[in-house]
Amino acid sequence: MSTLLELERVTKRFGGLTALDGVSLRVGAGEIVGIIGPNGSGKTTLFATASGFLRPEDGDIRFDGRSIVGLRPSRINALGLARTFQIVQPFAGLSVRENVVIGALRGGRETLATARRIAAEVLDLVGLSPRAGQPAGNLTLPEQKRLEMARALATQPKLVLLDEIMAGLRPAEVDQAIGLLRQIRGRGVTLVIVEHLVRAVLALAERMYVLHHGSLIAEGRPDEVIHQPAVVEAYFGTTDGSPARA
Amino acid sequence: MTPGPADTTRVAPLNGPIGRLAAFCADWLNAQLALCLGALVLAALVGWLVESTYYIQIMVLATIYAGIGISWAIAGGLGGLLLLGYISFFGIGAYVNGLLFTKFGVSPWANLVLAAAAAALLALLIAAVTLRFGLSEDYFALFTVAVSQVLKLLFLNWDYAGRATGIYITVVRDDFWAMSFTGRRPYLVIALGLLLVALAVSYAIQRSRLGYYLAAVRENAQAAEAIGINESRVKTLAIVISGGLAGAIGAFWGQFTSFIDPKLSFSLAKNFEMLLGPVIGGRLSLIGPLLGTALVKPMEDLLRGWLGGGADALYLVLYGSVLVAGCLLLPRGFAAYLEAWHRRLTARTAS
Amino acid sequence: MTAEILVQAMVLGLLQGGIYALVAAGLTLIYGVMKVVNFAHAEFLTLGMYLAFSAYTLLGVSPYLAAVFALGLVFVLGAAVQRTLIRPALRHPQINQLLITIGLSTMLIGAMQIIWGPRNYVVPLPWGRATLGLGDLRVTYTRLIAFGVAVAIAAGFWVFLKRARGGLAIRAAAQSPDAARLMGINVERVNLVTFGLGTGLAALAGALIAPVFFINPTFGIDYFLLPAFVIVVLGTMGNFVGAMVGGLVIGLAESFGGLLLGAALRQFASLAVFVLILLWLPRGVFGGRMT
Ligand SMILES: Nc1ncnc2c1ncn2[C@@H]1O[C@H](COP(=O)(O)OP(=O)(O)OP(=O)(O)O)[C@@H](O)[C@H]1O
Ligand SMILES: [Mg+2]
Repeated sequence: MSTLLELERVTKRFGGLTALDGVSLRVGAGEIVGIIGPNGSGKTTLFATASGFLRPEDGDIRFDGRSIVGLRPSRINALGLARTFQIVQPFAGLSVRENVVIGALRGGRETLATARRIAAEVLDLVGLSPRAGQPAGNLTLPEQKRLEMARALATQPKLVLLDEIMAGLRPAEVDQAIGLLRQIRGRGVTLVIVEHLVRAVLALAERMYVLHHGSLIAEGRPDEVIHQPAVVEAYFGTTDGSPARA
Repeated sequence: MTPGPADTTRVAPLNGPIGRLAAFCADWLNAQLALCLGALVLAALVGWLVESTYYIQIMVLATIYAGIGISWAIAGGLGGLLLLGYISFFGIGAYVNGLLFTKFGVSPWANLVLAAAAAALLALLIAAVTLRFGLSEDYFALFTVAVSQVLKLLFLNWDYAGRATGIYITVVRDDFWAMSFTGRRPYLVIALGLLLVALAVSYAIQRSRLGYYLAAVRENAQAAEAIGINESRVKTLAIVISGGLAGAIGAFWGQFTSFIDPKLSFSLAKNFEMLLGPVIGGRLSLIGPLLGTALVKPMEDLLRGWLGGGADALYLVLYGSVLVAGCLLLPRGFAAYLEAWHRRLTARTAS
Repeated sequence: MTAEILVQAMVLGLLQGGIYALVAAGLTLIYGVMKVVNFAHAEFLTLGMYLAFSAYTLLGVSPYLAAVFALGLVFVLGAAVQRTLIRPALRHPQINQLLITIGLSTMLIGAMQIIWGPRNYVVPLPWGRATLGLGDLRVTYTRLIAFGVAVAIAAGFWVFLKRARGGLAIRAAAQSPDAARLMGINVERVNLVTFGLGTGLAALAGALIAPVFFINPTFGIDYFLLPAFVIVVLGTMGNFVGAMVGGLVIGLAESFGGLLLGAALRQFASLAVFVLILLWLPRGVFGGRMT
């Protein structure tokens, strides 16, 4: 499997705080990769750095064969790497449809007519079509998370970084979301998912990384990684007790 | 803003030209365009019927300000930029025409384009510098105001441009090529033409992809970047278009008043007066700047004339009150009410 | 250029800087707490000058006593303005907020012109021209007093911000209105008081300099608005100590600038400093935090 995204010893500091400490990871084309870690372990920072919103102090990030460090986010998106925001960032005054159309314009590489067509498809896919005419600010939080995803998908990315899009969902909705992500991957889109919900990560990811205090402490098959003592300790502070109940 | 034709509107099938117009106007942006064009025709008609030079003079100034208001709203409204010091572009335009016309005999018609180019260049510079140094919001606003005052001081100290005295354009006879007319009516026609250009540009932007990008950057610049929109490029484009249009209108203004000096060309009082129309009319609409200016600017001029020169203090109090009350009571402008009314109307027609 | 001239420029610059500091302190405080750029700030200074003038000519009250009344009166006026115009505008777009303070400035200039007329006035203190000689250097007592009182008030205000409960509330609201609210601080009242105090300090400064300058309706906007903005940006918008230091720095810079460049270009120097500071130190020399 060819490597799509690769981080090499990436370090990101905020003043005295090292939010990412020499993180190396790779994501193959067509994979679903999970990233978990306790609150404040650096997951969102990792996404923000990979998508160009933060500039790493050290290390290299390669996407689709080229280094993307120092490129602006819009350029990185144009190369095919999209992200969602954990704290949703809708164009609140615009309609849901307009939000997605703007994504589908792909920075000018599609005409308005094409973008409208793509937006309609994506809205159907994520199930937001009934809400298309509403101002995005009127959506519920789970809907806004779906809008985040729709907007990212509308840019026709090769890879999407999904930051806690299932937070706050009820169990039935989680199952639905898992189905949706499988469907998206089925269309050839590579996914990197950050979720606190370990059940969802176990169900979806083929490989998983665990972040703790900005460092990777484990990687491998989810069902194996989840029981490693270092991971258990990172989550519970002790080595007895099972994290799998989440 | 609602970019793109609203695809939810269905209009009762009326036939004939009225029906077609109604169908066209079912979309809010189109309805605004139709209203604006109607207003332009009306203004031309009034200008044709009215004999008083005084009233035509007031109409020309109102038309100039309306054009400025629409142009400003491209960056200051659609783009959501706090472009507070806008008169720089207008003043540069006035001086470009004044200098090229009086010193080199270049036709003011050509100068409309050259002034637009010069103002656009200044806009490009301002955009590049503020983006490079990451100035936004209040800091960007203060910077643009400071630039306008730097320009005023430069022209005050520039011998070639006549220092504080400025530049006089003498009109002795009608001369189309020199854009010089002894009557006032021809100026009204040109002013309406420029207003039409500003309207067309703004309409085209709101219909195009740029309209969507501006909306995205205005609503959430970070989210816009995340989906492939280059925030800097979009903002730069908005400032350049706004600035360029103001340059052309400024060139015409100088030709019209035939007197260009630093105090008037870069006056802060005038600067804020220009922004009043679009802000209380509605920055995010096409019709707002036109409507706001049409209401406020003639009222100001008539009031000033009516109170007479001795009562400028009273004028300041009244004008200041309008400014304060308008900005306080109409945070989204008149246009927001019109839009709501239009929505109800189309909803009723559809059912 | 002799040493005396340089010393003179320095002394005059510092004297002017002290006044600047007091005016800018109010402006920066208002920005820090409400994030409102008050374009009408200089008009409250002019109003203070006129109040001192009328107190002296009509009632024979000393401008320095009148300064206290000006502070009180303008505090009330400022609070009323905050309540009626600023507070409702806080939820409006920024451009509306800016134009509201600009409109307020226009209204105040017009109102002062209606009340006092467009003429230049002076407060004719009998000892207004008396000077203190220090070697070759001569400075008027009026300037010395204005400087001394302005600096003392500013210092006193700083202590209030640091020590008093009310000062703590203001600083908390400036840091984060939401956090302040959670701490049980009445942010609406802090806003009201801050606007009153900020404009009141400008009026107080105005009364202090009433015996020094010619008074007319546009005095403030002509001579104090730009320096106040430069100082506030230099000292970081919202930073009180920054405004103090910035006031003195700009007073000195203008004084030496005038000496080196001549009067016409002095204003240019101010503007150039402003533009450069905005570009290179947009968050000011004191960083992003308040005091
Ligand atoms: N812009 C910033 N400036 C300073 N510190 C930051 C910034 N962004 C994040 N941090 C800090 O970096 C660390 C990592 O934060 P990050 O948001 O990446 O964690 P996370 O794993 O996404 O947490 P969560 O599960 O709560 O979303 C935290 O200590 C956080 O406080
Ligand atoms: Mg996170």
